[in-house]
Amino acid sequence: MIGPGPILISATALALLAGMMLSNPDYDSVVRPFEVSVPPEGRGQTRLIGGQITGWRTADRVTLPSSVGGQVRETQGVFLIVDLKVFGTTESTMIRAAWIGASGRRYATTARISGTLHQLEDVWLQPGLESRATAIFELPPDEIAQGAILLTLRINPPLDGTLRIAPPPEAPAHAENIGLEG
Amino acid sequence: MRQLGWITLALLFTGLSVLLVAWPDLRDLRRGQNWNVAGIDGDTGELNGVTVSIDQARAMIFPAMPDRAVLYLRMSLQGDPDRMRDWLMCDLALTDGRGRAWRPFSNAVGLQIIELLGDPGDNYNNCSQSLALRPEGGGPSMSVQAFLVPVPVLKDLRLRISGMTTRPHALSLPLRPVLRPPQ
Repeated sequence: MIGPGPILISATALALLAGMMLSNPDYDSVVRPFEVSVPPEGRGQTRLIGGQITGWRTADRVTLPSSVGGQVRETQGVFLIVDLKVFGTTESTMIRAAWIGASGRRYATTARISGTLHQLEDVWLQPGLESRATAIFELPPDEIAQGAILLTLRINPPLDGTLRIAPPPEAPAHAENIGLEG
Repeated sequence: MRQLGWITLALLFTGLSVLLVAWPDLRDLRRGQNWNVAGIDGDTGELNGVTVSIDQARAMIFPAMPDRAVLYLRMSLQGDPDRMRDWLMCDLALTDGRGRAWRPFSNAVGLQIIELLGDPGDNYNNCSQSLALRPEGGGPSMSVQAFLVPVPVLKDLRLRISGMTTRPHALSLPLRPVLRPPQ
């Protein structure tokens, strides 16, 4: 006859095991950086990077600077240009940006534009110094409202946090064509 | 008493298994960082048989951006060829007293700074490239680097350098850049 003690111990062990298995984080959640949410017009920082949005605008077309050919780029969606101030905390580093849209989809910065002034891909974040940076996205227009920009380390992002910066409350100014500085 | 023994044994084996699994990562962590930095007072220091010398350090502050300075560093590594090979994949940074680290540019901006503050005969090799392309005959491997630092730290900078197989050991030399007027 099995007494109530061993049954209780077995039930507790099973419950603990089930609890551990149910709460076991999957690969994606383990290697995902922790998010730091920054309110509109706010300034935030993680362990290694910091930044804030200083402006945003949209355009149907953009003209590249003459130093890189001066071509006009068109898009099936809309160009979203986000101006930022970024800084490093303890070590020089580089970052990447993504736009998380209203649907939850993430859009990387466009690879069709390069060589423009302060383009985020070329900016080094230095400790103790603020730098201007511009992130340029191509996305559907309905992904802009209620979206946010995500800033992470370019290499090994899970080793630092993600800055999730909400855009300014007012809608971005729209232009048919924006000429980018070189 | 016997149960306590079993529990102790279980805890001991748990600890040992964690250590066994983590051992490669702990070894990588030890090799990946400059945990033991030897501070030197002069312009020259030696680590693992290789002599590191600061040859030139120059800085310039542009009136349009008075909070920051561009900095040019020319340095040399010299030693036995086998020892020099250990120094491939140099880890190089400028540090201040607060533990902040500024790393050299590896893009076109860095080349522009080197052109601005360097000498006509400079090569454009960074530390690792200078080791791979070192001169025949055992001469020093010269390399040039460009940095961007806040102006207040210019008087408090040190060069921290280590090689692939020297880590966790690293050298730290004081850096006294000569300020040049903007052109």
